Order: sequence, then structure tokens, then C-alpha cells
Amino acid sequence: MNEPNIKITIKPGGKASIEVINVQGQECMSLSKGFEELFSKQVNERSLKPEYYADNDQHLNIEET
Amino acid sequence: MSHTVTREGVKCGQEGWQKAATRIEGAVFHGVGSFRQFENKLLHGIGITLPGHSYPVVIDLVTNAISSDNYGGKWGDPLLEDKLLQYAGVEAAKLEAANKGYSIVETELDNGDIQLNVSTGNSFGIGDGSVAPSGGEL
Repeated sequence: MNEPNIKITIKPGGKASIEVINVQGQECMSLSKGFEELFSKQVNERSLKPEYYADNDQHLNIEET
Repeated sequence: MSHTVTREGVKCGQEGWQKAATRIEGAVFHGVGSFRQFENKLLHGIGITLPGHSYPVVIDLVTNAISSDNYGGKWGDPLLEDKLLQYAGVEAAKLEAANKGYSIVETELDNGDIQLNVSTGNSFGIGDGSVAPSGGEL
């Protein structure tokens, strides 16, 4: 897997969006936490990418076998 | 009648606001103090006077609220205030990245947005899975 990255886009006025790249599962939220706290009033919404659910799916598969 | 507009700001700290102010030519960073706005309204916090503005922008260090008074653009260009807030966000993110040992690359986009690409390395334990054995070395 490629190196984990965080892409932050900041508009004039300070509104920001944060995207975590190359991270699977819930660790993406830990990785972005510090930045989200900075922009707590400016980040409009949180949307989860398919990678977020990757670990959960894997975990379910392991339990079923 | 008060013209003061207050809005939420990024958690930037004094260092971040100072760096943000220096990015705007002609802006004056006053540091922490008490600042008068229209009709002697007194505000306490970080003061920054933007070029062409009659009253300083004041940032409350406790709430991060940003107060400004441009009277609909007659007493200062509101776009400069927007740039200040944008730069504050950029500088806050840079400081956060530096604290965590991440590298960061800044790019200004054609639409005026600023994009920051933060490289975290493998410091989050993600990657090749190499782990030093207990009491040993890799």
C-alpha cells in the first residue's frame, strides 16, 4: 500500500475539507483527528470512503470462517 | 448600531495568526490586546489590521471567534478577511503537521482554494508491517 496521505483543501473564508488517502479502516479517522479538531467549525461534513469499511468487512469474514 | 460581524475561526494560536497576517501585504499584526471597533466597542484578543481597513480584525483566543467591521465593504475589503481566515487555516495545519513530524506541500489552486498534501510516512504503523521484535532490532 502507498504511503498514507492527508489532503486538506481550504477555501477563502476558512472552510475546509479533509480527505485521508491510502488508509483502510477506522485508522483514517485517527490520522485526521488532529486536523479535524483544528477545523471543527469549518469542516462541513464527514463522508466515509469505501476504504473505511475495508477492515470491518475483513473482520466479519474472519469470524465467519 | 453595531456593524461588527462575528464568525467562527480555526484553532490557530497566536503563532499561526501571526504567520497568516504576514502573508497579506500591508497587514499589521498587533499581538494580544484590547482593540476598539465602531462606537468604541472594546474587544480583547489578537488584533490584526488589514490594509485599507478602518478597524482591526480581533480574534478571541478562548472561543476562536473572529470579529470584524467592514460596514459592508465601505471600511475594508471583506475578501481580505476571507484570505486571512484561509491563511490562518493553512498555517494552523502546517503547525499541526510539524508537531506530528509530517511533511506538507502547499499548492494554490486556480479557483483560489489552497490545497495541502500532508505526507505522514509510515509513522502510523501502516505499510510494510515491519515490527521490531521484543528486545531486539530489525
